Amino acid sequence: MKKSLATRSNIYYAVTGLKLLGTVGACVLIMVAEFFIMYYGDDELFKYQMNTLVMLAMMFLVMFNGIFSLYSANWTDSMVLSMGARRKDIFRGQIIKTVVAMVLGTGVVIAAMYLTDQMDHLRIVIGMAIAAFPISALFYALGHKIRKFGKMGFVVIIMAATIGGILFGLNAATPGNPLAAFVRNLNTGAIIGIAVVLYLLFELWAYKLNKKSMVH
Amino acid sequence: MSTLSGKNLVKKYGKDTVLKNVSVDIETGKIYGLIGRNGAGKTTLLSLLTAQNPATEGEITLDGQPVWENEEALSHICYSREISPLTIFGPNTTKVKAYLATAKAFYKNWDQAYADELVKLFNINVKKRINKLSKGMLSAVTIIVALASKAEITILDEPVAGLDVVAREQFYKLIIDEYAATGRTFIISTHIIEEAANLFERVIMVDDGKIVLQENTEELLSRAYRVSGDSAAVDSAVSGFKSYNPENLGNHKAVTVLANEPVDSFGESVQVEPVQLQNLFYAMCVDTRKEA
Repeated sequence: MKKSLATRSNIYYAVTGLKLLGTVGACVLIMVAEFFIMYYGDDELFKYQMNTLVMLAMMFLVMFNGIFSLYSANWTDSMVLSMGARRKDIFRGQIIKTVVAMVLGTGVVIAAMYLTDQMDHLRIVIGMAIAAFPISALFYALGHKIRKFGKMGFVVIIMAATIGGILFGLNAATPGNPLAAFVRNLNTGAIIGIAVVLYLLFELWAYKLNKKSMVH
Repeated sequence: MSTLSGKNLVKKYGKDTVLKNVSVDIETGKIYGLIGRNGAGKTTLLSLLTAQNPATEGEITLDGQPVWENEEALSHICYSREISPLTIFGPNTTKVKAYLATAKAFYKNWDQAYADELVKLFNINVKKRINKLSKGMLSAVTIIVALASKAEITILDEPVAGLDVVAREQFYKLIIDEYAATGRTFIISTHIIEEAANLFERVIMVDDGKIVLQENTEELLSRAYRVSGDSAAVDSAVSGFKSYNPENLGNHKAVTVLANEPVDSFGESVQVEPVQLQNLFYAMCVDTRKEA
């Protein structure tokens, strides 16, 4: 006897989360190969690789999770909606996708850090994992809205991301890395609290948009 | 027998009212033809009936139960719509294999063996991406999903678009065979009316956001006539009947008539011919304002 629609939807989105992980894994492997070629023979190759790969892996995870969420509202969700999925299953499925990708992905990264005795950035890794949830919810809501604005919406998102990247890079290049210092001094409870509030607000917005979503 | 009903359906996109207080009943165990001009509201009507889009007003039920977000109702329905090779992000790079796998995941009664058979029949390379498929192949994928879903009520929106004549005949045969074997309900929206007309037990005609008729096809055509002859004689013969699309050539006139009941005779002075569904549709759409 076939499983219920809710269960089938959950499985579909859990598999989507795994595919997202696979995409991130492929990108990380490419970076591994690139760094190996670039820094072969360097005494600090292993340590440098690990530090960078941990940060890149988390960055790719957060980024691809957001991108998958942005795409979903107008592409994959529209496809499953046209095949009889319910909107509440799709909404729950998006959360499942993020949980599967972020929990498993972060687990792999932390395991790699532990095995190579590189636990210095654990707090940042966990912080990025937590941040992925409100980012995913925000991008899912934006994905619903973007149809209205079309390519201009994309341009705005890309510009915002570019500016963010420039600011992040400038900060990293600044002696003392003020942003990292600021984050390190933040109360952990405050960070988690802000992330949870933002996550709930963005999910509420996404839920309202999802309720009236249409097949395109 | 089940009934998929739409009552007093209104659909607005901003200020534009696409469906204007439409009511329709789809009884299971029949093949329906849904015909109408481009932009008449066919796809919108089908989207509302299958809960793929929300109605602005009105209700849609299957055996009295709302269809919206209802697992039981949705499990009986498949609306296989036209697949676009483009998304708003660019080309649709989903592979056919992945698309069919998604259909398998969501359609409760999915028949994988039948899907494989149809893939072979239509010669589809499942490893190809959707944006690399021709229009005909996209239609074929739509047909595969519709038929392999084994849904009790299966809706196909312009399934033969882009198909060559051989593929079209294959499709019609598949529908007939499947209907004969399972008694599934099919609703087929098509512009190639004359080819498909023999399939339709009932026809629903949509024009300008309204349903202008929903009837048994044979009964409808038994009341449709093409009356021609001398202008005065034709005018006299068809007075009191709904007539459409008058064509004048000098003193000669021809009109399409849709009577309330079959007519024995229009008189000796005019020629009367039966009307095909496509010609009736054309006549009604070209001129729907001429009434008795």
